[in-house]
Amino acid sequence: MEDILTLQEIEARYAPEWVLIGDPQTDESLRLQAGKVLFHGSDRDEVCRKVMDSPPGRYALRFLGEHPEDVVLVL
Amino acid sequence: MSVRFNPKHGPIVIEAEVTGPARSLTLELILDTGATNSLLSEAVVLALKDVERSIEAAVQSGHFASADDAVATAWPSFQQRKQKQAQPAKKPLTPDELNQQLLADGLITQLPNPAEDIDDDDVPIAIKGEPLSETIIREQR
Repeated sequence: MEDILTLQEIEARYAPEWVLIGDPQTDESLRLQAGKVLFHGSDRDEVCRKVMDSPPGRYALRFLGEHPEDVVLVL
Repeated sequence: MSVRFNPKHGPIVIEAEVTGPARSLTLELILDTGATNSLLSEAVVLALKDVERSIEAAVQSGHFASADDAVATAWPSFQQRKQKQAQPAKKPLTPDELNQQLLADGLITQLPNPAEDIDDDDVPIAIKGEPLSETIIREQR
């Protein structure tokens, strides 16, 4: 899981899970383009714990699933 | 930065980078157009932190005299939490045990004696007319 993958490749391999991405490559609008998948799983908190175990640096956290259409978000 | 969105679709999701003492995370965040604050989940905030650096910052800002002082201050709370977690779950009290507990705590002064509740010499009173329960119901209306 140490290869640099494009976001499309990451989505194709790991959807619908949460993924922790190292060395994220982003464009000028901070949109994620590519990176190394360091960890993936269905539990967001577990993925966050992996961030804590990782050395200081820059990472990206992404949910690759789809939000259910019948869910209402109250902000 | 500008983000295109379709107002007829669901939440507006933007990509943002959040930087903490040790790490930065690029995240997808939902835009709340009426909000003056940004909310992040606790797990994400913790992921951005680095305990050692946080302690260092707390010492530098004068909250603690040294890192040892910070640890010594936090230690009792950690121990307390650990002990609480180690305690087995309490078994629910039976009614008798609950009564004894209430008595011991001074919340009641005496326990009812079921033996005294038997009134063998009581004689039912015959009531003329409609049953008493119907009178009560009618007068409540």
